[in-house]
Parts: sequence; structure tokens; C-alpha cells
Amino acid sequence: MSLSDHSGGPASDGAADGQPRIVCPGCGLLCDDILPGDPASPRFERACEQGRAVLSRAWDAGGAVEAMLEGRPVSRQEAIEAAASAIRGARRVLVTGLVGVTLRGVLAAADLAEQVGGAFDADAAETARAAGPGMARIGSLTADFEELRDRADCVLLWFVDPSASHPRFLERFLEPPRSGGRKLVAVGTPPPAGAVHCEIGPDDSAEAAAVLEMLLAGDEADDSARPPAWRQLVGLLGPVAEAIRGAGCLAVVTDASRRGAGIESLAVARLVRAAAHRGAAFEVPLAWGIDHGGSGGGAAAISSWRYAAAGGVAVADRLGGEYLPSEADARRLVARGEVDLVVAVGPLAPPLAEAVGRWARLVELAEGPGITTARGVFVQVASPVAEGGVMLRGDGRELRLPPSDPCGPTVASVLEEIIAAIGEGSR
Amino acid sequence: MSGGGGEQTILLRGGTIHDPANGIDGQVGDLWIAGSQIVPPRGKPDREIDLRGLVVMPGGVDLHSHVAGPKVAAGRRIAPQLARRSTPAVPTIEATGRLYAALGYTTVFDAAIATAAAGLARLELAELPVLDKGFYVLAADDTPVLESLARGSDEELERIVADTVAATGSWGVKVANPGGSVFWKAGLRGDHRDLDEPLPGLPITGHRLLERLARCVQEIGLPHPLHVHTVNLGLPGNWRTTLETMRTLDGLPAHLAHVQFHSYLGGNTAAGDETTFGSGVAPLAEWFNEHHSLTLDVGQVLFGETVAMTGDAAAAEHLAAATGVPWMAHDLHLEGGCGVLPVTYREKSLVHAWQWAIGLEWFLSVEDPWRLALSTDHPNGAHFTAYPHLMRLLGDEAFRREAMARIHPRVRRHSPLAGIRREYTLQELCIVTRAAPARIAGLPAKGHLGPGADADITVYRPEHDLARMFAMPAKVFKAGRLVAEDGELRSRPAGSLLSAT
Repeated sequence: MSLSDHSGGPASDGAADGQPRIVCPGCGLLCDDILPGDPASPRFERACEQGRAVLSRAWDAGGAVEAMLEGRPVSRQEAIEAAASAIRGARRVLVTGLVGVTLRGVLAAADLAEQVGGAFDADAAETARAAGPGMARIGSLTADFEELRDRADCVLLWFVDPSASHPRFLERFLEPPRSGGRKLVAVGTPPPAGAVHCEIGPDDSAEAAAVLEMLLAGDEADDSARPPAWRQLVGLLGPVAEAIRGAGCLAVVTDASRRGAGIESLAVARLVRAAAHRGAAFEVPLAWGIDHGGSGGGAAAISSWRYAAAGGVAVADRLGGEYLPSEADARRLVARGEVDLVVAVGPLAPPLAEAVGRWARLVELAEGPGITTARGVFVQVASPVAEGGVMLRGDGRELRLPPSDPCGPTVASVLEEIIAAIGEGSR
Repeated sequence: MSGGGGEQTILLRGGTIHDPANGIDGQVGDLWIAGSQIVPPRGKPDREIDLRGLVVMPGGVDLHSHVAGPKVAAGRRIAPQLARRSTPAVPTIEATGRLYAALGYTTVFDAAIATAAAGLARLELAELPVLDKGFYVLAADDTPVLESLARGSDEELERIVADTVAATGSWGVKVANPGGSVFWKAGLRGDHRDLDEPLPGLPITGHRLLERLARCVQEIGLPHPLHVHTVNLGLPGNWRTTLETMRTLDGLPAHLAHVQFHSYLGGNTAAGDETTFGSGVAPLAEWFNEHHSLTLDVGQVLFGETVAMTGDAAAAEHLAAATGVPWMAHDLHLEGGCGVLPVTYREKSLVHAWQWAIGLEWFLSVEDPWRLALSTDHPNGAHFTAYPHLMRLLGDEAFRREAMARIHPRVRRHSPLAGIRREYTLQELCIVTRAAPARIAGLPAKGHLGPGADADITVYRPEHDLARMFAMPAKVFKAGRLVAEDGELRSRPAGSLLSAT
């Protein structure tokens, strides 16, 4: 992979100091200020530890095995034909992964799902959110990361620890000074320095949101009929409400990958909406953390325009895919044995990877062998860092990756070859 | 090939042609197609299609719709129950193109795409089949534009707007609630205000923003004038700020979007006083009819379930607070925001019945149909597949009277609509659905059937029931190719992305 072409793209905003910038596709933040340094031994300055690992893999991928079939190295062409044959012969196919993939790659993956009438789901937190009661009954009020950085004078971290899931979130969006200052409040998670903190267990998060909504509304009248646990939450959250009250713009940062009981998403959605009817307020849901492997924003966007749903699409059909969020999300389809072949485009989140490894045959397109079992097909593809193109951050913002010299074929080109091979085999 | 240049020629013989731009009003005649264009008569055609007894019009042009981009994506997600109907409230991009084509429409514009979302919207629009398509960019919310307005340099403003249009590949510039995003982001709701109120932190008013931006769009020579969604959408009493908007833009080319939502009398419905709600169309239409630089689309409300979506975040918040329905919003850094929520328009609702009557009153009060484009502000007022129903309401007074008999009695008694007997002719319906919107959008090769026009042609079976007639064209040609017949798609060309630069 060459660094010489990194000087012109929109993400290379460091051209002024002569140093090219690259984008780290490691999580939904898509940090676009990384300085790779010397091409011979890049240091990836500014990247977090996990991000450096992701970028190093992309840099070193040239030496990786090109393709594997049933655990043995084969030519790429042989792997593509084997993948096409496996897909043709499958009872039901799931196309998933789709994080850390450019929009062009996601479009090609969707084309494949449509060709075989397969299911399409990025195993994305956004799908889970869309399927939850919060979205259906209350809605969703969000903003992009820079809105939080520049507008929010009060940030509430709600049962989320960005330093673990999105290591540079604090540095990039919470710590930059803001004229007028910024108040930090953390509930249920370790607080950043200087934050007002309230320790509440995750099992109480839904009740806590309801209590905080009540406190912010000033509706603290007679609570003698409430159970002691409720009154205890009122006591714990009093200082939080006090810190938030009077905020000019409140940002509530949440962990969108929390699944669990849907009642929590309902309570948080109510809390944010109530605040937004009183003044400026929005939620910043963080999804696709660093251990998940990228941003699923592109998959959610494309799935929405092609199938009218962010994911959970049982049959990919451009006239309106069957949207069955509780039946056709990737983990359920695999765990229930409803699919017998999974096409993994890009890395899978660990829980899905584990289930796939146990229950289904796999066609895997990745930068290096990941969860390929002895029953699977693996084709190496270029990292989006090398490929260039457009990705969406976790907040939906478009980010153009500077073009480079891809080492190996792109996700889209491999998928196009597989689609062509499936078509030929069907004739 | 006899068409010359290797292009196939088709003769459409003996149709009853409505081509208002060329002064043809229901005359029997022939049309010649060579390749993708309409051409003068030639020797012997490669193919001849008999259209005797059928009505021929240019392909429909929808000047103001919402079909792509993140806001539409949110609309698809917010109400899955509305997505499961045979015609979903917000169809997929593929279904959108097919449904428009089957309805006889061949061009559509998305009316509100944020600058930051333009790349994604173009990718999505590229997948909208059959139709030619474009969008208006919401540049008026962008910080560089607002800061330039504040600095007062026309030259700088023109450069920034021209660059934004070029970079986004848009067709025009839209302003949604002038300066509203600045109020919204300051925690001031952005509505309930006059155009003369200064924007928070900026030495400009909505008044000045509108006037300078309209002039800027004219100066840089965009094909479509400034597309204006003015302040106070949906609020009782907003007819005053709409009139102020018209006065501000007097003498400047500008297009007023979905005026139905901006033409209300009344006090504070949020406080429960709905009795004063009513129609403010009369003074607005009077002013509009006398001042010729402006054009408008109506944004007709039709009864039923739909999804409302707007780049005017404050308007969505107001509606969400009033109704309690699910509400989605997303704010963009250095730009505006949006709001999306499901809506059900009911015949028996006082406010909804007024909205229905106000839209129709607008249609029937505008004297010059060339300055008016038929729209429902899809999907805000109603789904675009309801256009044939709307066309019957306009062209069939008895049908309109029957519909009026079902709405809220107070509206029946007090709406000026009750006293209007006007019926649109086929020629006028042709003007407001294709000829006028093409001209207003700045598309010289569309909306007419003269030589050099794009061969976008719709053929209808004449019927007394105008809704039936317009719901299922017998044939639809796009760029000379038969794309739909009796509601069935026959071919699926990609269509072109229209950009102003």
C-alpha cells in the first residue's frame, strides 16, 4: 500500500503541514486525522491502540494469504467459484457484516442478497433501535458528533463508557474547549475527570430514566406511594437533575448496542424527547464500537433506501424487503439455523462470529482470515483504508476516504465476481 | 432506419394532443419520435402506434416531492406499519420510480437535501429508475452562507452558493424556514416569529436572507429560482408572514413551496382555541395574482395516513408537541436539521378539514395556471399516487361537492371553497402537472411536445371519472422508450440525474 496518494482527499485536511491524513475504519467514529508517518514503518499517530492494530493489519495485508477453501490456500479464482457454488446450493443465505465497508461494497453486497433472495442484516445496533419500542412510540432525536462538541453545554453519559468502546470519543468530541464551558454528567458508568457522577446499576437504567424525566419536569410531588427503590433513585439522581437543569443544549450519549429489555430504550427516548420539547436536546447513540470493527452507518442507509428498513430484512427485494426485525436479524437467523450459509462482508462482531463459526457455512471477505472454519471459503480483500471511497460514520455523516493503491481486490470487485459466477453457474 | 442518424423513429398517430406550451388544446394530431426526442414529421417511421381516441400529454413533472436522502430514510423507518401496505407511505427508491412511471410521471425533484447529505442522496437517486431526477440543496442553513449574508458581500455569497450547487450536483437552492435553524439551535424554537426578527447572533433577518438569496440565485443563473418554504409552517395566523414573504420577494423570481401549509388564519390552537382557525388564502391569492415574478406549489392535504418530513426542524417539533406522535429529528453540524413524524389527516378533524379546503381554494383561486404546480408535498400532504384523486377534485365540481359534504361541518359552512364553481379543464390539468412545473423548474426540453423536446409522453384513455383516467395511463414513454402500459412496467431505463452545473 502506498502513502503517496493520500494528499488530495477531503480527509487529508492536514495538507497544510505537509503531512497526509488517513481514516481509521476501526469504529463508528472513523477518525480522519491519523498521521501514518514513515511508509516503511508507519506509526499511525493519533490513532488509539485498537485503531493502530486495525491500520497495521491494513498495511501489512499484502503478505496475507489471498484465498482459502476448506482451510487450505487456493487461488482467488478458485475461491470465488467455490463461493458461487456454495451460495447457489444453499437453502437460505444471509448477507451480513457490512461494517468497515465502503458504500460501494455495501451496494455490491445488497446486489448479491437480491440475486439469491437472501436475508440482509448488518447485525447493527441501529436495527435493534429501530425495532424497539422507543422508536415506534416516542421516536429518536439525534445529532452528529460535532453538534455535541460545539453546541452541547451539558453532556449526560448514560450507561455508556466511550473510553472503552470508542477510545477517542472523549478526546475528539468532549474534551475540546467550548466557549461557555461544558458540564459533564455520568450515570451508571465510570465518570470522566470532572464529571458529576451517579452510580446506578444497569438493571435500574429504565427506572432511572423515568425518574430523571420526572425530576427535570419538576414533577416531584407526593411520591410516598412509590416503592423505596424509586425513592432511592430520586435521591441519587437529584444532583444529576440539578446539574442538567438550565442546560442550554443537552446531549445524552448512550450505548446503542445495549440490547436487553426494550423498556430501557423507551425510557431513554422519553427522557430525551421531554427535554427536547423544553429546549435544545438530542441523543448521540454510540454503536459499532472498536471491538465490532467499523461503522454500519452505510449498511443502514442503503438498506433503508433499497428495502425500507435499516436491517432485519428477511428477503432482500427492492420493491420493499420483508422487514422482520425480531425474526430476521443476523444473530437470530444464525442461532435458529434458519440460514445455512452466511456471506460475511467485512468483520463480524464477536457474538455473531462465534455463532456463525458454530452453526453455518461461511463465505468470508476480509482483510485476513478471521473466523473461516474448515467448512468455509475465504477471499482476501483490501482494507477500505487502501480502497478509498465513501463510508458513513456512526452518526450518519459521510466521510470520503482518500484513494490509494489497493493491495488486493476491493470488496465490491470480489462480490461482483461472485455474482457473475453465480449467474454463469445458473445458465 | 428512416429517422436518420441511426435512431429508431416512432410515429404516434392520431392522438388527441394537449400541449399547452405550443398552444395545442385537444387537437387530433401525430407525434414523431427519433431516439429520445420529439422531432418534426419525417418520411416513413420504423414503428407506428395508433393512438386514435386517446389523450396525449407530456410526461408529468413533479416539482416538489420528497423521495431520497436521510430524511426519507427516517420516514421509511418511523412507521413500519405504513410500510407494509400495498402502496407504502414512503416507498423504497425502486418502488418510487416504478409508481411514478406507472402514473405517467417522468421527472421528479426532491425538494430538500442537506448539503452534507448530498453525496448519499445522489447515490440513492441514481437508483430511482425510469425518471429523470434532481434535488434542491438546503444551502440557506449552511454556516458559510449565513456568515456571508452577515458580512454583506453579494459577490462572496454568489461564489459560496455556486460552489455548493456545483459540489453537491443539485438543481436548485431551497430555503426551509429562513434562518430557522439558527433559532432552533439556539434553543429558541424557530417559529412564532416575524421575518424582521434578527437571527440569534447574526446581524441579519429572515427578510434580508430571503431577498438576498433570491437575488443570488438569479445572479448565478440557476435554472430554477429560489425555492422558498417560508417561516411558521403549519401555525395558525401564518398567512401574515406568508404575505410578508411575498412582499419581500416582490419583483424577484422565487417559488413558494406548499403554500397550503402557510395560509392559515387563527389564534393559538396549541392553547386549545381552534375556533379561529381558518383560511387566509383570499388576501394571499389576490396578492399573488397581481405580482407575476412568483410561482407556487400547493402541498395539498388529502385524507388518510402518511408521514410528514421536513428540513424545518422547528415545524416538526411543533407538530410533535401538539400531537404526541413518534418524532425523529437529526441536527447537522454547520447546517440545519430535519424532523419526521407520522400523520393521519381526518375528514372530521376541524384543522385537517380546513387544510384540505385551503389547498383546494388555492388551486381554484390562482388565475394563471402557468404559475402553479400541482403537488401534495409528497408524502407530507398525501402520497403522490393520490394525484389523480386531486385532479378529479379540481376538474369535477360535483365530485368536490360530494367530498365537501363529508368534512367537518364548520369548514363546510365557512370555507370559501363552498362558493367556488370553477372546474379545471383537461388543458389546465395538463398545465399544472407538466407544462408549468417544467417551465418553473427551468427544463426547456420537458413539459411540452414540440420538436426538440424530450420524448417523455403520457397517453390516457379519456374517462368521465378523471381520477380513473389519470390513475392508469394507457402508455408512458420516457425518452422515446415505452416504459409503462396500463399500470405495468414495460422497461426500466435508469433515467438521468439532473444537475445545474
